[in-house]
Amino acid sequence: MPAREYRWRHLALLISILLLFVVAPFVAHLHDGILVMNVISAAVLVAGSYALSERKHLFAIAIVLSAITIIGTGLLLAFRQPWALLISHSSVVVLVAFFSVTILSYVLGSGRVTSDKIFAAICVYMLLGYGWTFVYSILLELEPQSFIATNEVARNDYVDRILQLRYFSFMTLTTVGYGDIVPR
Amino acid sequence: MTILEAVMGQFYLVALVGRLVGLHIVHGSDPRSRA
Repeated sequence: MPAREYRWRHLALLISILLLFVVAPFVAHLHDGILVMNVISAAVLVAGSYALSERKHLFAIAIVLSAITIIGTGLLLAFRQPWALLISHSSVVVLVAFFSVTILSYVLGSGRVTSDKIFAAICVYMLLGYGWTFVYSILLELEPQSFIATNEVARNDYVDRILQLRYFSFMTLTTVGYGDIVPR
Repeated sequence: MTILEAVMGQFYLVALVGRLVGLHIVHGSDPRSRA
């Protein structure tokens, strides 16, 4: 049975992920929009690490991967070059995959089904969509003709690209398939 | 890759619901876990 303070640890992660998804489209084009998005993204990293804090060795790995991701994002913001994007997004993919696998092992492990487990399961679903977003972004960088879109997928605007690819990622994950962005 | 994501999304939901329902049934019928 988890200790009392760990009971809602995945709820914090879920709220921060949902906050990122809901707030990002509204603040993306504001003057300090990128800063706001990075602050919320940092909250996701902190909440994700906190979710793993019960298992010390996983927590240490999460801290290291989070630090690498923050450095990668800093490089991207500073240089805005393809190599910086590849480093940044690759580190995000690795971190999200790590979070997903570790949280999934908690969800599928034995023990009673608690509300925290349900929140953790939803977190993994959200993280899957979030992680695939960055996989597609790397793919688009390596192969610019990867997607056909009614509105061209933004190639130079980093924020627009992520927003469009996140939309595409969740559309694919949920198999909605509106068809306005199509893989080639 | 898109196909992989779509398949993963569907299988995740199926496996997750199956596992959670299974755990709930097992622990719901175990009188020791109700204490």
